[in-house]
Amino acid sequence: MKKSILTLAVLAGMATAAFAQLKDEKDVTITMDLQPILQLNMSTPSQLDFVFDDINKYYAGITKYAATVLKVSSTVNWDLYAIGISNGNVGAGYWDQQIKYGTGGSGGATNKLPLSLVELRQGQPNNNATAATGAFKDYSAVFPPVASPSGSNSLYVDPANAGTPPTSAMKYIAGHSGTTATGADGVAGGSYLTAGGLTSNYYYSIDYRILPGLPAVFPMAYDATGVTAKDLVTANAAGSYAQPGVYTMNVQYLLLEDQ
Amino acid sequence: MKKVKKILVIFSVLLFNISKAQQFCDKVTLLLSSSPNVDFTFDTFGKYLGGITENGVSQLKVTVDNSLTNNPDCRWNLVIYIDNSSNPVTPSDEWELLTPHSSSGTTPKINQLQIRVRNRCNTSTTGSGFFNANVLPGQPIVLISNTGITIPAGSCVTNVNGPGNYIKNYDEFTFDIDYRIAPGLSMRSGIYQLRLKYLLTEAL
Repeated sequence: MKKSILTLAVLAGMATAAFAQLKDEKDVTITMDLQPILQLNMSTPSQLDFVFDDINKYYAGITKYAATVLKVSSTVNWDLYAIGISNGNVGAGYWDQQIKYGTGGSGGATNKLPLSLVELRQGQPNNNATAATGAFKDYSAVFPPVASPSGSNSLYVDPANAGTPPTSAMKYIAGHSGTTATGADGVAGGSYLTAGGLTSNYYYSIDYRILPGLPAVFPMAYDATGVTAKDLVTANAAGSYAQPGVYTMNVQYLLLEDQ
Repeated sequence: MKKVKKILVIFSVLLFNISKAQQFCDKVTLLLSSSPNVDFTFDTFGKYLGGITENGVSQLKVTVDNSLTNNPDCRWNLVIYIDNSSNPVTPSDEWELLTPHSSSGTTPKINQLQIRVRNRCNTSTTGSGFFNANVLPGQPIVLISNTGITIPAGSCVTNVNGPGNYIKNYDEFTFDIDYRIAPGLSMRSGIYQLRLKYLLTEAL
């Protein structure tokens, strides 16, 4: 009996082996390399001149509307912020003085003009900053009137002049500090090319204003949080005012992966 | 005892015959006459948004022979299986992530791979256009199916599955494969991989 079962097993095995289904196989490996791309396009002049040669310009300031247009394309979540920088030839956090006119004025004249005296206004609010904790999450507020100084639009400046990104208490143009969630502190990957319209989160027109006031103390200069005034009188001493001359500084726009 | 032996012999003969009945063809051969590796590199926005199409990068050549047995029931199937499973943590519907470049974004799904199978007679059941690889690992994409009916070589119609070869019937036994990927801008940056297994079998 045992022998018969063994014979049957061998026969079955032979049959199966001899007549297995014919098949052939070839493999193709597909590799996809998605490289991260962050691209910031600025389709406007890189040089802006503010010439204060009329008393009304001192009083009312000079505003340049849509002087900078920023267009973002990114394959990763991203943040965008602006920071004021200079060479620091007067001091960290101050405009560079290229030349002073005449003797530079009498007592009280100072060449220490804070970088944050520049005001920005972004056309499209920051819609991805619910995690922001500060008084002002972005630069979308209208420019404050001369009679009511505010830090709502004062440019972010790293107090240490080390280029450190703003914290959650400071201003971003889009996205914000931290990586809690897309929408809370970062903008999802995308492009102005496909998001469309002038109100997309990938397209920002930036207005600039410089308001010296009279005397020229720059009342809209504030600290990085926009809470503490940094006008020339508050930052220096009563009677301070801006020394006439030519000053320069940079506004740098940084697009970076959500951080 | 004698009766048991008799039953065993009958059973073995039956089994032998059943097995023998399953062989209709003498030989099936699948030749991949192109590189086994296809690389897609997305390094510009144009490529991300417009996609990349790789035309004819895989070419399959089929030979199915029944010249010895001359069995009229010799037919064949051709299918694709997609495999992403060399990393066990990869979800079944996603590409296998080899190296991340970023922490944000979503992992691409297998069905973002588009495939087009071409030959002059359009014999593939998938049609002449691109289709999304909307399958999970272990599920086949059928190019030539087993309908139980032999469609002989030379018919130049969909699903030719009779014996033949790419030398005599090039337009029915050669398959040019195109691939297309359009990831968009929401994918997580990184290097991903999929393996496509082209399987030619005798139709039973």
